[in-house]
Amino acid sequence: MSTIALEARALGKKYRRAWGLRDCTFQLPEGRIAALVGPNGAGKSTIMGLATGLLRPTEESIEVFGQRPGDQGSPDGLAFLGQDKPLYKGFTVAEMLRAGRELNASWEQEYAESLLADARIDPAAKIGALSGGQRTRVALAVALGRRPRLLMLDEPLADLDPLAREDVMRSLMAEVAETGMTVLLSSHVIADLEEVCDHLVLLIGGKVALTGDIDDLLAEHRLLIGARPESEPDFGPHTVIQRRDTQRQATVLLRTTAPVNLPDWDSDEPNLEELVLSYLRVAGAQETGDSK
Amino acid sequence: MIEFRIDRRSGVSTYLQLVHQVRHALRLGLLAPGDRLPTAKEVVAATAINPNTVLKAYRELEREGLVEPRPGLGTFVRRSLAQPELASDGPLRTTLTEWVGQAVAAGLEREDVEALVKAVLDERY
Amino acid sequence: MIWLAWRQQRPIVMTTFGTVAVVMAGMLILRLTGVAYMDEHGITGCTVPGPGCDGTAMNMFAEAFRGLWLPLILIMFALPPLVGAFTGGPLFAREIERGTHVFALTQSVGRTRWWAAKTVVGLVPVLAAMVLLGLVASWSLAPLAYVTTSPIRTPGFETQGLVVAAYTLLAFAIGSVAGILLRNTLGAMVLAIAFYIALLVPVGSFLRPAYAEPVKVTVSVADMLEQEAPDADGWQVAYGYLDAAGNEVDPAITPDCGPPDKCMADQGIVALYTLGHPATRFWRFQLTESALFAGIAVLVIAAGSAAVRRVRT
Repeated sequence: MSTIALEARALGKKYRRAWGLRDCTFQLPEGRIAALVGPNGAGKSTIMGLATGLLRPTEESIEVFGQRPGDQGSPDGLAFLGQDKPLYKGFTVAEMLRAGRELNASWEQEYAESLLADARIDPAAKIGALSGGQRTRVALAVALGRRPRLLMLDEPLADLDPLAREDVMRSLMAEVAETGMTVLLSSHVIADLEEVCDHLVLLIGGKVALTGDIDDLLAEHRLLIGARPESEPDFGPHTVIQRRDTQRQATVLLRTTAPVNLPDWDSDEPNLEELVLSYLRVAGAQETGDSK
Repeated sequence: MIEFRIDRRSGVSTYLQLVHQVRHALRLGLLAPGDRLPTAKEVVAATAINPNTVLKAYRELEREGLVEPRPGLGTFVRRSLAQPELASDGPLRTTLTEWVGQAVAAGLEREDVEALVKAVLDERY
Repeated sequence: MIWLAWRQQRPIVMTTFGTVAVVMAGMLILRLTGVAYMDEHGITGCTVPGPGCDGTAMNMFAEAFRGLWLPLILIMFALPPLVGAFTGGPLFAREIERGTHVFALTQSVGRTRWWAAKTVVGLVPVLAAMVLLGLVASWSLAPLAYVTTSPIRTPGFETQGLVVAAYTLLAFAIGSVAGILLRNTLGAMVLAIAFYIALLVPVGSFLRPAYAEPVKVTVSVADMLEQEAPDADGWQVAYGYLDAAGNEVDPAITPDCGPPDKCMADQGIVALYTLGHPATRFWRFQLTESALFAGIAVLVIAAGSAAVRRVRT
C-alpha cells in the first residue's frame, strides 16, 4: 500500500458565521500531483490552512504523513506556498533565503541557491523590485529549500501572465521529476492543471464532490450524445450526473460501474474540464433550486 | 534528441501524444536504435506537464519493445520503425501515388479521398 | 529566528536610535549652555533663590532658558508613546496585513517562539536607548532645576529618569498586542498612544501622590509671612490653615478683611500646613512608577502570548 501524504477525515471548519468546510474526506497518496479545484469560497484555502496548522479544525481531523498539524509550524515534510506568495518586501533575495534557513530545522542552501540561479534571479535584488513571476520563483525556492515531501501551493498561477505561468510550471515539474515529491495545487482555473495533475480533489460548497486519480475518474465517466429521447431513458446501473437537452439532442454525463452498452448513444470518455464543469453545473443548479 | 510538443487543444491525452511522437520519429528515422530519449525532467522542464505522464508514455513504449531503460543512464531506443516501404521510392508508395492520381482524375476532393482511405483502413485494421 | 526578527525591525530601530541621539544631543547642549550661563552670572549650583542665589539673576536665567527647555520637554513627553507605538504597533500588525506571518508560521518555528523572538528583539534595543536617554535627561536637567521646576513635579518627573523607558515599554506592549488582535498597523499605533495617555493622566493625578505618605510641614502665621515656603523644591500636594487647637479652618479672606496677618488672626488661624513630597524622593518615585508601568506592560505582553496562538490566516 502506498503512503498517504495528506488525509482528511470528516474534516470540518466553522468560521464565525458559516461552515467553510464540512464533512470533508479524501486521501492524497504520495507521489501524486493533485489538483484542488473548486469555485471561489469552496474551501480550498481552508484545507491548506488546516494542513499547515494555521487553522484549527472544528470537527475531526486532517493529517500530513500521519501527523496532526499544531502550533509548531508546518508538519515535517510539508512546505506551503501561500496565496499572493508572502515574502518580506524590504529584503533582498539572498536575505529571503536566509530567512528560510533561519526558520527551518532542515534546509538545503545550495539547492535553494541553484533554483534561483536557474531562474536567473540576482540574489542582491530587492524582493519588492521583482516581477510576479520572479517573486513566485523565489517563493518556490524558499519552499523547496525545506526539501518537502509534500508541497502545497495555493493559487500559484493566479497573478501571473501566460509566459510566467508556463515558466513557473516548467520549473516546478522539473523539480517534481527530480525529487518525486507530492504536490497539491489549488486553482479555480482547470485549464491550468489539465496536463499537470494526475489526481483530483473537487470541492464544492465546502464538500468533496469528486476525488481520485484522474485517469480512473475519466474512465468511470461517459459522455453520451444522442437524439433527444421521447421517454425517460433507462441507463441501467449507471448514475446520471448531468443531462442537458436541446430540441433534438441530449448530452448526458454518466458515472458508470460497468462497461457501457447503450447502442442508441454516442459514448465518449470526457476530458477533465468537461467532467469538472459538469459537476460544478449540477451543484450550481441545485443551489438555485434550493434557494427557490 | 527529439523535442516533444504538446497540443493542449487536440483532445488527445498528453500521454498518447508523447507515445505518438516517439513512434513518428522512429518511423521517419529521426530516432535510431541507441539514441537516448530525453529524461522526464528534461521533458517537463520544456513542456510543463506531469513527469508521471512522461514515465507512463515511456513505459508504454517499453512494453511495445521500442525502448529500454538503462538504470542510471536513461531510456534508449531499441529498435526502429523505419521501413523501406515508407521511403520515397518504395513500391507501396509508388502504387499509392498512382492511385491518388486516379482519384484526382476521377474528380474526388481531398476530403473524399481521406474519408475513403479511413473507411478502408477501418475495415482492415 | 533572532536574525530574522532583527532584520525586520532594523529600519525602525535605527530610526529610533537616530531620533534618541538627536534629543540626547539637545539635552547635552542644554546642560552645557545652562551651566556656562550660571557660572557667568554667579548663580552656580543654585536651585532656588536664597542666600548666594540672587533672585533676579535666577529669574533672568529661567527666562533665558525656557525657550530651549520647553521644546525639549515636549519632545521628551511625546517620545515614549511615539517610540513605543512605532516599534510595537507594526511588529505583528504589518506582518499580518501583508500576509508574511503565513510564511513565518508555516516553517519549522513554533508560533510562541516566533512571537517571543520578535517581541524581545523589537523591545530590547529600543528600551536600552530609552533608559540611556532618561538618564542623560536627568543628568542634563539637574543644574536647570529652577528652569524646569522640581524634578518630582510634572513635567519634570515624566521627562527624565527611568520612567521614560517604562512608558515606552508599556506603549510598545500595547501596540504589539493590539497589532495581533486588530491586524491593523495604524489601529495598533493609535491604540498604543490612546491607552498610554488614558493611563498616565490618572496615574499622575491620583496615584503618584500616594506612592508615599506625604510629609506634613506646619508653619506659624508669623513665620510664614517672614520666610520663603518651607520646601520650594518639593512637590506640594495639599495645604490648609489650622487654629490653635490644630483643627482645619476654611479661611474667608476678602478684600475688606484687612492685612493678611490681622485677617487670619481674626478667624483664629495660627498656622499653615502643607502636605508634599520632597525632591529627595525623586528616585524612589521613579522606581515605583517604573515598576507600575512595567508591571502592566508584562500583563499586556502575557496577553499577547495567548493572542498569538489564535492568529490565523
